[in-house]
Amino acid sequence: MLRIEHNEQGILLLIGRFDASQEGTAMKAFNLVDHSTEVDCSQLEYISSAGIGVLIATQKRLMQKKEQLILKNLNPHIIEIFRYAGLDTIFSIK
Amino acid sequence: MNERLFKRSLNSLEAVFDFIEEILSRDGIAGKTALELQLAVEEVFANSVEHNSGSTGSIAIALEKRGEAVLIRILDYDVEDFDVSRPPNVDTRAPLEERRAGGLGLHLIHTLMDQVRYTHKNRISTITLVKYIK
Repeated sequence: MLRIEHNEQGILLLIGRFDASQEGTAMKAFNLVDHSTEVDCSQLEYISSAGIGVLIATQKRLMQKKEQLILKNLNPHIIEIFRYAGLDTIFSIK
Repeated sequence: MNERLFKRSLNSLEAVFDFIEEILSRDGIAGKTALELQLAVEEVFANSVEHNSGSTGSIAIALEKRGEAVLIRILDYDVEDFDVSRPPNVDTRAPLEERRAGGLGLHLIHTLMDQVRYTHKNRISTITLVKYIK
């Protein structure tokens, strides 16, 4: 199960597991992002290609407006998956 | 092998993950290896759900630790031939505008697993994933 929350600083929090069953709900939430936004992944335990697809689609849309997602606090497992998927070259990762 | 049947739906994924975790924990396998096995199985399972929507059969998943490896077998019934043992041509260095979601799941399976085997006979596909325990 994945929870997506906004904190007071406007940072998007991804909490839990971002698997294919969460793709539709997550896409709706990310479609509401219309400017550069930090995404805190410190509580993101797992992500598959479905979740990665949502992030790529959002980044593509934002980049057309010179905006972007900034991913931060990824755990080592998620960083490795992102590297295998080549996300480290298309996202700003803090 | 420990085997269980799962309804052909993405809503089954949570039960699939629980099953894998339960069996792996008996052999003390957790953490990174368990997450990578769950990810590979999800990619196969989601692919089956997406591309074989005409089938009404359940999907069977079996796994066991054999020596220094974990073997996972995924059986899908009444499905078309789609050979997942061939690594896809995915350019993970391509610029953002050229990125596509298609093929990424298969790319991750081949990156994370040590062997990916596939057979298709009598409209039954059998996918075997092997991961060596480091």
